[in-house]
Amino acid sequence: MEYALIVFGSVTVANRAKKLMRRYTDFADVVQLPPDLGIRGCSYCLRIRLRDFGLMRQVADEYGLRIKAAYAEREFDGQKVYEAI
Amino acid sequence: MIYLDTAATSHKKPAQVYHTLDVLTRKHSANAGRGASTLSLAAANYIYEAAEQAALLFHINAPENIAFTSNTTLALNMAIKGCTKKKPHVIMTSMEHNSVARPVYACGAPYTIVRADREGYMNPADIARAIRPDTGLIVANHASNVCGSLQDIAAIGEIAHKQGVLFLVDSAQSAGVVPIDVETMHIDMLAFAGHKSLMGPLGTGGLYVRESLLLDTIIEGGSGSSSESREQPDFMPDRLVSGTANMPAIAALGEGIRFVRRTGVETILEHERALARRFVDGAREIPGLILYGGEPERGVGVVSLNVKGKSCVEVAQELDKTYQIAVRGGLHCAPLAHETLGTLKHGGTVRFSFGYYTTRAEIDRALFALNKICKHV
Repeated sequence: MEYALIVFGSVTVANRAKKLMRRYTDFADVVQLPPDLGIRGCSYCLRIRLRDFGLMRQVADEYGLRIKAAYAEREFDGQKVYEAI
Repeated sequence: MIYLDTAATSHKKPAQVYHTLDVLTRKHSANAGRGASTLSLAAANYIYEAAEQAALLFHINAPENIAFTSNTTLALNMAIKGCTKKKPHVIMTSMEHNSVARPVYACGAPYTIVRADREGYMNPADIARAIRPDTGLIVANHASNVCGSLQDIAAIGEIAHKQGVLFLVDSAQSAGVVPIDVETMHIDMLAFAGHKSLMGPLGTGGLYVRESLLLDTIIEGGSGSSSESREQPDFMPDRLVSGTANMPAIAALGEGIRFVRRTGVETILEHERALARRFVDGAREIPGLILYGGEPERGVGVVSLNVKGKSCVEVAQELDKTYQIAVRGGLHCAPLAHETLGTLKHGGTVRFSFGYYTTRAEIDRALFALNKICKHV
């Protein structure tokens, strides 16, 4: 299974995004952004299925949620790798 | 003890408020927005859910535009001091509490106080006439904490909106009692108390800020976001919320708001007005009592009076010590309002303020006590 990390500025917006996405999908969780993604300090993101990324963008547009960045999360050789979407 | 001081804080809360405060403090104490442990994320979610409840109550589109504070005073300070740099002139009413007046005085902005009538009601047209080219903010007290007079904030909001002036509403006495819709009332900023008619614990309040309005900050610190930046975040609520949030209290406030929504704001208002009507009708029968403000049907459940020949502080003390009735005597941190009502020269009034849990029997007991006090003057 491939996932996407959708980066929001604050945990509040991430929580709102989670609630909105949960209307349409059963998988959306707030997690802390891995530090090696170049955004330092506490940053929260929504972890969703990669296939739901299009839906996430629609929801963000409709509800005015500012997406700071988005990454695809894949596994390679037992390690998680991230690629900007 | 009969508690008739809801304007200060609501004494009794719904059961779920106590339960939430207890459980979250005992078992779920964690710092919201700091790290990503299960407990920390859960803490952030509790706060978010409280923001959702407030957003539903006030018809706010985005819950993240609500910053929870420790009280209305902090919320008002943030709002007033956060938006007066560009266009400094402030208009406020003569019914304002010191939590509006003092920050206005302190920030050094030029200001105009628009006078209410002798019963505490504003004419929105007077506010319109006070607007100048450099007016940046209109602040209005929705309901008076002294006499309960309710202002037509929809009309004031309309005026502010047409003139391109920001509109801040102090809803400390009205949130949870009077319907508030930030969109239809053109409210740019709404300061509210969590611990009065919203039934939350002491130490809670909040400030709604309209989308795209970026306030200057008066408090800076850790926000749990954009930590690498030397500046406060430029997004809500983080911009206005620094330091550790009182998560159990905010979550409990969320439950208080849920209770208010379930009960119905209009139902609560009707109840308070009926109590105020009963009290006013009974008080008018007692010789030696002077009542202030308008008719109960025009306001919220707050009534001020004086006893001829006795100071308001003396009367309040006697009600407390002899009859175990809690009220408040004095200026109620609102000298402007007392000046408007003509009671400043008497040192203020005795204020009786009712809430959802106040009963008719308690009103009758208060009238009995006043009757006795007046007979002994």
